[in-house]
Amino acid sequence: MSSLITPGNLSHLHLLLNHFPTVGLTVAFALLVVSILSDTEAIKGDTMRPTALGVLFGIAVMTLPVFTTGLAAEGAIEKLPGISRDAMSAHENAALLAFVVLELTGAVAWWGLWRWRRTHRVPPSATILVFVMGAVSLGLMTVAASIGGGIRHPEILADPSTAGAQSVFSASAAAVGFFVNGRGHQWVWPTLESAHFVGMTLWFGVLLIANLRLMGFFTGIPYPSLHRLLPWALLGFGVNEVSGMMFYIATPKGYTTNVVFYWKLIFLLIAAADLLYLTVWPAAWKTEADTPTHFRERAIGWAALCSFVAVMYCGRMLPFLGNSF
Amino acid sequence: MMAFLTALHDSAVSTWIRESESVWAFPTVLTVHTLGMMLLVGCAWVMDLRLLGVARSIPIGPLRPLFRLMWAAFWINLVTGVLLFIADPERKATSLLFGFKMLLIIVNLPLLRRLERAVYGEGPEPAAVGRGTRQLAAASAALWAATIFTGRLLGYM
Repeated sequence: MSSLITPGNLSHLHLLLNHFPTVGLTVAFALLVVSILSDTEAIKGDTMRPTALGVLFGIAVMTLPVFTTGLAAEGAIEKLPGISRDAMSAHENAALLAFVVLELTGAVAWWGLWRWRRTHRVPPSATILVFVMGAVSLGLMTVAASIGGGIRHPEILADPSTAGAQSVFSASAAAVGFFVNGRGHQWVWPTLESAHFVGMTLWFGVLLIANLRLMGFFTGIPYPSLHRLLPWALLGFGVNEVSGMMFYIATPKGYTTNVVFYWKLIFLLIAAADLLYLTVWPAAWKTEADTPTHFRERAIGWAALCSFVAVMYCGRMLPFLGNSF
Repeated sequence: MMAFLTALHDSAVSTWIRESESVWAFPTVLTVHTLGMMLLVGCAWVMDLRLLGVARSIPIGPLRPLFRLMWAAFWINLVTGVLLFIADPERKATSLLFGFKMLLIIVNLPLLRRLERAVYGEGPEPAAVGRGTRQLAAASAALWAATIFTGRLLGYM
């Protein structure tokens, strides 16, 4: 797979994936609006509302590889003739802002889903928050995408030289880079690493016992009681996403050309899918104490546990297996 | 003492772990150490969170195997930890940070034992979670977090 990590492929990958936050977000937002306007109880409560939240969570997760391949694409094309550096850094800053808001939207959407599974109702506060934050994300993502399109197509920018001024939060990526790697900030990287490890043990511990129950271990525990722990797994993911993205934004070249990093992303997506599964899966919710488990849940559990270890393995091995640092 | 550490440093095992280009040397020992940490501290968080009052609907009795997982992970990390020490004995033995990490673990292990005994030591049913048990759980969780921090910082000394 190392041979696939070529500049052309990295740009191509970014162009493929970047439709998730733009097109995907539009679809998720439309589902949410219909579920709000509908007067049919089934569409409101049981089907379309949770579906909209689930799709939103999925889009938020998929945006992680979109952002990371974006920096890889930057490294791949920055030396080509006719590329506007200004448009590129404006795109990066706009994308970073849109990414942060979308990730927060995804977290709220997940919370709404988690509550829905427990009470069979999405809390109105979650719906309102997701609606507002989703609309803001969609707007910011559109701005980011539009500036991004201008990198290779200057003809669609009114005035390419002013692209940099379009971003309200210009230089935010550079600010993150300075915070992590700047002079006098030697304490930041090791502290973030420590937080990254604490976050990892937190999400791993919670997802481990939840999956093990569905795999037929800890049979004395009713699954709905373990479901209560899941927000702690999301907290662990959050800590790791923030610390991980800070490493990445500060030192993109350490990751973008390393195949191990892409493996880590793939296993991370599987881990996130497992969190969604543990949150909403109907058979899981019906697993009371001493309820026997099904082959399907055992297979999902093994796949998930192997993916968690693979995420850690790829992360820990980044400096050794590839060409990261 | 220093002579022993130097001899250890020059031994074949130490040299191989430290200097071998093989991915099975230092990288694998370090990764297995991380795996043990993930399992040990991950299970500890779940146990401590429950004892501190999170997700009270989880019955405590069936959680007991978590302690067995924690001890298994502890032995994995003792072995890999000794190997990591052998790879770099002179610097580790004279490092204040390393000594502090060992102190944190030496204090935490009896806490872990006491926690297990406080909850599961009195017959087949787990004991009610009292103030003392909660304090033990909070202290143990804080020590694990501090151990991760010092361990992680050791990589930068």
